[in-house]
Amino acid sequence: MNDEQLRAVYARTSPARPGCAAPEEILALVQRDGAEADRLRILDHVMSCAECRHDFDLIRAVESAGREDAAGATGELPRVSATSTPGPHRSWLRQHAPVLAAAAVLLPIGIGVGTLRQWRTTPRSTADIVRGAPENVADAGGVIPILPEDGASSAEPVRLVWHAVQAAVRYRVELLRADGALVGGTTTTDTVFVVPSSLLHSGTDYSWWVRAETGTGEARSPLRRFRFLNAK
Amino acid sequence: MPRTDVSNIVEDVVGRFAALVRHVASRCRLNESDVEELLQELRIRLWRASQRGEQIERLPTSYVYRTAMSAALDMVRRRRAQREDVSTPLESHYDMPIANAGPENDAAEAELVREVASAILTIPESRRPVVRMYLAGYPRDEIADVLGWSEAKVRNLLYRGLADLRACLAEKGIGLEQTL
Repeated sequence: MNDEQLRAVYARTSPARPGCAAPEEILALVQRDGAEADRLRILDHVMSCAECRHDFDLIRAVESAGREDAAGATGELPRVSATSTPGPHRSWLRQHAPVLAAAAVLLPIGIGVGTLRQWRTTPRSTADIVRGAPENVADAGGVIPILPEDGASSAEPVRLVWHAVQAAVRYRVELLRADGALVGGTTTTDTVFVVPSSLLHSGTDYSWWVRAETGTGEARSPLRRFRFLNAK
Repeated sequence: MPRTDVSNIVEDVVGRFAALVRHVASRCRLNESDVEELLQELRIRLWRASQRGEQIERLPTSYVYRTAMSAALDMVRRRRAQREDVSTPLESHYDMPIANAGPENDAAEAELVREVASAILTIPESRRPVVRMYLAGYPRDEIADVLGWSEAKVRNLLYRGLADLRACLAEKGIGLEQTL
């Protein structure tokens, strides 16, 4: 199996698991505090657990934003105690200077079951062409959602439709509950995705968004909301 | 200080940090609802600090960072408390199924997923987290950043770890020819 195929399978091996890492342990991991063996153990769990990975990404984003802020100001970054209330007069020297500019163009690749099924039935080639007429192709600045319209009510079948993005290799579609919890996601080369009705509950609000993966980075859509109303 | 002035100052401070968070959000896979919740928490905490007499406009950027991190940790704690309260179906964590897939394909894929998950556990512990991060889509430089290692070390461990994984899968009879 090549790396992409392994990633596609791996994306399905990450349900929430018992024995999740404590928030303090995830913070220590992000800040590289503590013994390396402990951090590797925590990281091993975090990367195998969808919920912990979500938490890890949140804490890492705040840490990265703080680093950028510090890099733009004094070069210092405080360390945060996971249990303390922040006070304005404490600060600590950060151990490592940030290297973020280069990383900004290297965006993560999300591969889901759509790709998985594709490679199980059709050998992948470099000719992965996404759907979308040229006149409907957005530039890489962002993905433009089309349907359902933001805030609209939608009956079965719910079709998520967006404009194609120039140079997009694939799209990652995610469906969220109103509280932001992930309902599901998939990867596709199409610009339409029909949400399985088994995932939807009538009268419930959902959000969705799309990330387009291009050869050099990623473009994303704004978050759009709809209410599912089943006429049955 | 008049209330509107405090609001403006809080919004200025939140807005500045919001720009930073949004800048890294995509790289860190942070979704929009998380960003909004985090910024709202930050806004509330800064407002409360102003009510305690803190001069928000004079606080160092490090204070805003610490406040945001404290808010993020509390968000994580709340999510975990909610998870314990609400039993979420396991399948909701998996990717959306494709509507026209047949049961045979589903069974075969489920078996493949189990085999890969099992094979990953055979990778030596020193290499396994790197392989997991890589398979989860994190680029090598971010793996190196999280672990504080050189990219060369990450590359080496990743190379060996993926080789371990493929060797284990090959022993199970799983290879490219079986999956296409």
